[in-house]
Amino acid sequence: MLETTSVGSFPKPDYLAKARTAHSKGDLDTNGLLALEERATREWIKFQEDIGIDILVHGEMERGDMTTFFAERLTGYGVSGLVRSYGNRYYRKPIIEDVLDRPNAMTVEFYKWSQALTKKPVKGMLTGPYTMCDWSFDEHYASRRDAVLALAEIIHDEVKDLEAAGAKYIQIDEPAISTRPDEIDLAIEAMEIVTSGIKATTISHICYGDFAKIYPRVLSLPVDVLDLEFANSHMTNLEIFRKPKFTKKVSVGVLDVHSHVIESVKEVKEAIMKSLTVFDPEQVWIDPDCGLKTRTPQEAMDKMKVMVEATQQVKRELGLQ
Amino acid sequence: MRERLFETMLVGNQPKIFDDPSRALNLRMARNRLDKGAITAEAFETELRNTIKGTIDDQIAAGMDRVTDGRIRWDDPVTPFAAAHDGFTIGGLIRYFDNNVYYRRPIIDGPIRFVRSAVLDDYRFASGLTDKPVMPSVCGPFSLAKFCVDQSYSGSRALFEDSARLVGGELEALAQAGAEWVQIDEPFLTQSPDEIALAVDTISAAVRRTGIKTLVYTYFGSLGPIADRVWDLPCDAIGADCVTAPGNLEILLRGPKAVGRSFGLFDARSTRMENPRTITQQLEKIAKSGAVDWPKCWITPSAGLEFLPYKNSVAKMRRLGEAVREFEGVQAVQTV
Repeated sequence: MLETTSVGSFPKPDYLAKARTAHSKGDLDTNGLLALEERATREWIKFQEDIGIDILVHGEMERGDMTTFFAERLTGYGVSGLVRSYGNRYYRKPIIEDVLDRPNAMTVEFYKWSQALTKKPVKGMLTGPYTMCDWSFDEHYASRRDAVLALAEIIHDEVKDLEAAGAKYIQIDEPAISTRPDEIDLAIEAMEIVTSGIKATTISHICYGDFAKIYPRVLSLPVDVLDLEFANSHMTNLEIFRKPKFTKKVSVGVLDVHSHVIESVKEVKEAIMKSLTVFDPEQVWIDPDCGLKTRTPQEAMDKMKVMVEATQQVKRELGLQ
Repeated sequence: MRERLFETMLVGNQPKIFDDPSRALNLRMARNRLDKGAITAEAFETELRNTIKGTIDDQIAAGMDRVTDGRIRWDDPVTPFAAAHDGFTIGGLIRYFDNNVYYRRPIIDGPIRFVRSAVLDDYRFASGLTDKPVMPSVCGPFSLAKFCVDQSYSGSRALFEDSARLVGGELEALAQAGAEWVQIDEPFLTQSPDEIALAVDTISAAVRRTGIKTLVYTYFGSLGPIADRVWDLPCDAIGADCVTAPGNLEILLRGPKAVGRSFGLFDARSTRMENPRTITQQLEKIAKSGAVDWPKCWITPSAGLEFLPYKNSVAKMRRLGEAVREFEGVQAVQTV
């Protein structure tokens, strides 16, 4: 009950941010960069263990953004120039230029290496087929459906490989799923392909959209846990899920990842308690709204510590230990 | 009857960074440095104005007949107005329609009042850079109210009336500065068809007595559900995205002769380049529908080109300019 976790990314330490720049300029070789990515991953795994997180993430120190990282590992994709997503945040929106294929597993080696650092479970982290398509330009497939289903087969293979490597929790993020409510059936069909035959606990993260337009249909997304952002809207989104009854587990976002302000323990406790007026304690996991990569490392650590402390206090007060 | 059949122009926001090592401009980096205190606000302002100049240079090079400041200062279509005027605080992130683009949704927590134009300075600056006419733009009063979380008006008509007064202030400021036309963004017109009567009243109140010609542009959605009422809008021209909703082209063709049109024919959200034959067929259709008698007929991208990487945005606007010039050239030869 009230297991704590995080959505995926943590901020890159300054030494890694500088190393990535040096690598992109050819001033640092790939092995040198990998060594620093591993160092930063070890630090984030240790931090999560130290503060008592239940289900860990490896922190995505080896990834730039959640679309391009995978596009660079699939054949058929080209990577284009930068486009802005909000404020001063940009990403290289990839272009589907040919038939997509996965020549090799994309995340399994780093997953295995990360999992070996801890006895606690580490999530396998993937981006879902609907979001991969929606956040790419497509110059090849005849329709969005064709592109989404092609990606679904590829991501299914990756999920199978992660499970075979021992992953007990596999997260397949679909933040774009609320973008076009009229396409939610396509996203569900694609996720059926992705999670077909998988025994691991599956999670899908969805954020910054209009949940009202996809609820309750989104309950048909074939994953075990829906990971949703709430703190950004000051928990007002919760009301959408009061009726009909939420039938899956839910990972409740209680930290605003786009604010420098560190929430107080009291505020986070109130957010958790509010969520328990809508969901049963057995359904609920606690995490930030989204990946914390846009914060400074110190801000991310401070926020996570507050989240764990608030969750522990709630559990004690409600006798949920 | 106009001398030229079409006029080319961009709508919406343009890329803020030039992915080109030969040009020193990089507003993204400058903003990072500003946030870290590594450069002054004045230095950032210089970089921002250099970027506005850059986007205008690109538009001129691509043959745009009317240019825009590219909305380089704007993070999105609504927060510049929420930041400039009274009654708003900036809230949490939310997706911008069906795009992988987000904005901070303003919260209306008091009476909304015009304070100082959010767009006038950049309009004046842009106008000083070129002899070409400059099209300024504002968030429309109906969409301004719809973009925000209302915690002050309880959804009453007073919200829309105050929004109209606020946007009216922006239009008056632009008119006094000599702007001939202004683009009024109303993306919620197609997203909230049930409220078309309220939208018409709100826009009417904003544009009344401002003395500036208005192009209402709708973006992303279909005009179909409001096709019967859209011509009630008291504007001088109406524009729509004819890519996301191809039926918008036919609806625009059916409007009254006295109202100008703006056709968003080039897909601002795809790197795929348009098929020249398809564009030619569309231009022929528009030409045969009496376009020469309308007060204006703009051919534009479907939305702001900032949805594309810089190089693709330039390629797209060049293709737009070439296609229209080529079509008009052929037409002129045939006329001769």
